[in-house]
Amino acid sequence: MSTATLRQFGVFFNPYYWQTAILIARNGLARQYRNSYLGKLWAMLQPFTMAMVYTTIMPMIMKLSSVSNYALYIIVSLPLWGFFSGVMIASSNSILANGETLKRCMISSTVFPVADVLRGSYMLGLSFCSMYAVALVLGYTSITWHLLLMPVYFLPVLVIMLSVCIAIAFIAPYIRDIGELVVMGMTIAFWLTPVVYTPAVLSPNAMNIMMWNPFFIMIHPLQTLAYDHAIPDMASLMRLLGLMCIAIVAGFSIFRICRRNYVYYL
Amino acid sequence: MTGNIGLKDVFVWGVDTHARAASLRQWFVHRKALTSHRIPILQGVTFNAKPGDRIAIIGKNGSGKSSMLKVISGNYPIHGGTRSVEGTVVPLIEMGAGFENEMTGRYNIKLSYAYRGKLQDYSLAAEQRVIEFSELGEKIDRPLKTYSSGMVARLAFSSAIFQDPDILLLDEVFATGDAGFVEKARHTLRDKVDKVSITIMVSHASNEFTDLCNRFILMHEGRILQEGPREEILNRYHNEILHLPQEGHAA
Repeated sequence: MSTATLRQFGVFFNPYYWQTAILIARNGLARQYRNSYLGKLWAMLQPFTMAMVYTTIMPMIMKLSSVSNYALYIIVSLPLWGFFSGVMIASSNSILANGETLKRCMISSTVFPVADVLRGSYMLGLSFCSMYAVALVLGYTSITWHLLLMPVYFLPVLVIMLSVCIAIAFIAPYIRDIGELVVMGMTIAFWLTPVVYTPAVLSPNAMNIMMWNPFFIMIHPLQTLAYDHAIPDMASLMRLLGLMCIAIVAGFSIFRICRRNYVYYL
Repeated sequence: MTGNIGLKDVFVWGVDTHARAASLRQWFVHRKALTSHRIPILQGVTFNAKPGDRIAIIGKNGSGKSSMLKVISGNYPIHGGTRSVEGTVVPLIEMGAGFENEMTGRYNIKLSYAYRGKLQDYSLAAEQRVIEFSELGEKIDRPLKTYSSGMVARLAFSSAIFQDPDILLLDEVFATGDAGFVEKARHTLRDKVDKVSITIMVSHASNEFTDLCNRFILMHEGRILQEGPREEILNRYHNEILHLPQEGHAA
């Protein structure tokens, strides 16, 4: 690795970089819920409404009778999908929306997509915890020690999303259609990933293909912990860590290629 | 005193993103040849600055003055030539960039430190100094959207001015607000220019601070046309670039 590459990578180990990202994430939250009567409560209400809709409709159109506690499965899966989808769509506008600031200020350009991911993580924590609390009150689940492992398994997911979002943010100035492509891609990916249906409904062949779905690789260990109350198997963990390494290398390579001239495309 | 700037035969191109998208569409739909979407911004600029230099860059809009500052500050990468800058650089280019309307003035002070990459210099004492200088008093805890434009300008100027770099870049920096604040801001800015090693300011020639400068550069269409004494540069600017009558403008 060259000195310049190490310097670019080194910002992620600077505490002031993360403080700046948190400041910007707080701005985003303030902007998102400005003049809203319910404010951050929407972070819970939206997935909760979706959960009710899916819990009612999905068992009617799919063979989900064998799935025990489908409501809990939805409560665990929907906020996670909302996080993936939300941060990837937001990152497609991270650099574009802050172009004028980036042209004038001495700030690391990656801090904006990173702030979007931090904001998404905060919203995920809020919606997941509140929905899980509702599930507890309604008797759908109980608290087990497996939940303590959620942050540990979420960490590689966070690193993957940071890498992917930085890459999307830096492609966006060159290919303005990336935002629309991400929205379209996430709509397709939603139905190709076990979010509103369980992997149990898939045929063995489909399951073999599913093992290569990056969203499945990220979401499945977290579903195992919070829904099955079990520890994900070693193969799942290895796939997750492998995906994390690929995402870091790919994301950083795209960033290095795109960062040089992006400012002229804003 | 430290600080050094060297630009040698620097070329910078911008991109006409609309023309690029249209050209790609034409290529995709009608198989027409792709057209160039490059816009020349700086064309073969060679420039040096050493400690003690107070440089005024004069030219009309679009001449490349601000782009040259952005090349020096590192915001614009170069496409040709070489760039070397030694010393800490503070660009005061459109102060208040990135301010957040929904947040309080106090929060925006911290944000302005973050946007300058100087969060490590932020402290409650530094914040208090900015609040006192801006004369915003208890209004500092109100959201920025409740401020008048003069109050925002005061906060932006006050947040930016308390920095001690080796190289200070000023792009049409003027304090606005009531007369008392403007006078205080002018005095502070003059003090700042005196203290830093190298100051480069961009001007349309009407900037009162050019009297602090000891070097004058005329830019036009991305090129340095001439460097010389103030009178000579201003005369050429008015006669050849603006095509104005000669008398009175160099005073």
